[in-house]
Amino acid sequence: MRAPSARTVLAFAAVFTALVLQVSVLSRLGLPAATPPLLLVVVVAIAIAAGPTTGVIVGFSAGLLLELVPPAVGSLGQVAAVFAVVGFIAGHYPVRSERPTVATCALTAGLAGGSTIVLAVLASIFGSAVVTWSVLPVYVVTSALYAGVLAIAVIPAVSLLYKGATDSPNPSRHWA
Amino acid sequence: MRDIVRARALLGILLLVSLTLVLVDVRGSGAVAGLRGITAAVVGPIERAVTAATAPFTAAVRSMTTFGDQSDRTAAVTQDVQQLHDGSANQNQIASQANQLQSMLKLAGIGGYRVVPARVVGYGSFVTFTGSVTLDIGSRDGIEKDMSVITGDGLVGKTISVSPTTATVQLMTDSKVVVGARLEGNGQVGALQGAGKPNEAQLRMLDPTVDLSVGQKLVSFGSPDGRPYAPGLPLGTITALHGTAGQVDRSATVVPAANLNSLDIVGVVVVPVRTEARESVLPTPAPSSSGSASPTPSATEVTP
Repeated sequence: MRAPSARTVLAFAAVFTALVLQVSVLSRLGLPAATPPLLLVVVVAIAIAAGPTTGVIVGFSAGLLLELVPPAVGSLGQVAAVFAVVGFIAGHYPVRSERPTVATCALTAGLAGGSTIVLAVLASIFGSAVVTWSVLPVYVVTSALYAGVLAIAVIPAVSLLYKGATDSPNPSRHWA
Repeated sequence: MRDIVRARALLGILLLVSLTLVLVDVRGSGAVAGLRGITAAVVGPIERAVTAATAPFTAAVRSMTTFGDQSDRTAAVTQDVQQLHDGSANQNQIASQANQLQSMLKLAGIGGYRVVPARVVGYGSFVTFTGSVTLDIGSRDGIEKDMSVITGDGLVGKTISVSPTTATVQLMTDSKVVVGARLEGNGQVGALQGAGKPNEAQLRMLDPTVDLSVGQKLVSFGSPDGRPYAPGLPLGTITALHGTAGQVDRSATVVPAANLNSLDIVGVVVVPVRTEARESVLPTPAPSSSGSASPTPSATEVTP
C-alpha cells in the first residue's frame, strides 16, 4: 500500500467539496426546478483530466457518497451506477486545453440531462419513487443548463489543479 | 488503449456492485441505514457549518428567486382580507374553523406538544422525484424517528432517520408519502399523497361523493399517539379538482400550506407518548374555560 498520491487527495477533496456545496448551498438557493448538479460536473471534469478508469472510480464513489450523506433517502447504487457511466463517457473525451470550450460545456450539459432521465427511469423500475413524467422535461432542461454554466468554471479549474498535482508520470495507475 | 480496456472492465464490475446494492436494499437490509448513520454523524456537522457560513449569501439569492412566491402570497392575503370584510357568507366556516383551532390549541396544550425549532441545512438534490431535507438537530436534542415537522404555516413532513446532530425529514410532497387529511369545516376524511412535484400533492377522499371546492383547506387527520403525524396541523389548500363527484378516481390538487421549496426554519413536534391522552381530553367541554362553554361538535371531529 502506498500513501495516497496528491491526485487521489485532490480528486476526493474536489468531490467532497462539491458534494457539501450542492447539498447545503446550491440546493437551498431556491433556483427553478433542478438543483445545479455541481457534483456531476466535478466528476466530468476529473474524468476529462484523468481518463476513463479514474472517471469510473471517481464517478462511482461520488454517486455513492451522494446517496449516503443526509438528507439522502431510498436505496443505494442507482446514482453510483449512473455517475460511473458518466465518468466513463467523459473519460473518453480528449483534453485539448484548459479553456472551456463549447464542446466540453455541451458534453457536460448532455450528461447532466441524460443522467436525469436515466435516474428517473431507474427510480420507477426499482420503485424508489413514483415518477411524475410530466415534470421530467423541465428537470432535464434546467439540469443540463445549470451543468453547462457550471462547466465553464469548474472544468478549467479542476484541470489546472490536476495538472499541478504531478507526482507521478502515469496518472491512470493511481486508481489501479 | 489499455486504459480503455481496464475502464470497461471496471465499469462492468462497479455496475454489478450497484445492482447488488439496489437489490440488497430492496430486500430491506438494515446495513444501508447503518451506513447512512455513520455518514450523517461525519458529514452532518460539516453541512451545518457550511449552511451557517453561507447563510447571508443563500438568504440574498433566495429572496430574489422566491420573489414570485411572495407576491403571490401577498395577493392571496389581500384577497383573504377582502373576504373577511365581506363577512357573512363565510361566517359559519370561520366559526367552525375557530372552534377547531381552539380545540386543537387546547389539545396541544393539554397533550403537552412541544415544538423544537430547527434549521434546514441540506436539501435532497439529485432526487428530483423524492423529497427530503436535513435538519441541524438530532437525537441529542430529543428528536426521534417519526415525528411531525412543521413551519408556522403547516406540515412539512416527518423525520425518517436521526443521527446525534442531524435529522432527515421526508417531505409530505415525496411521492411515497401518504398523509391522512381532513377537510376543514365539514370534517370529511381523505388521503393526501405526494405527487412527485416540488410543491404539490394529490387528495383522494374516502367518500368520492363529498363536495369539494377550490380554496378548501385541509388539516392532518393525525396518527395514533400523534406519530408520525400530529392531528390538526394545516396541510394545504385545494387548487384544482379532477373528475366529478361520485367518480371513483376523483382527486384534487393540493398546494401545501408550508412553502416546501424554500424551507429555512422549521419545528419538530416532540409528542410525548401518552396513550389515550386525547380520549380523556376531548369528549366533555372544559367547565372552567370561558370561550368554549358550548359543547362543540367540531371538537370531536378533530380526534382521529
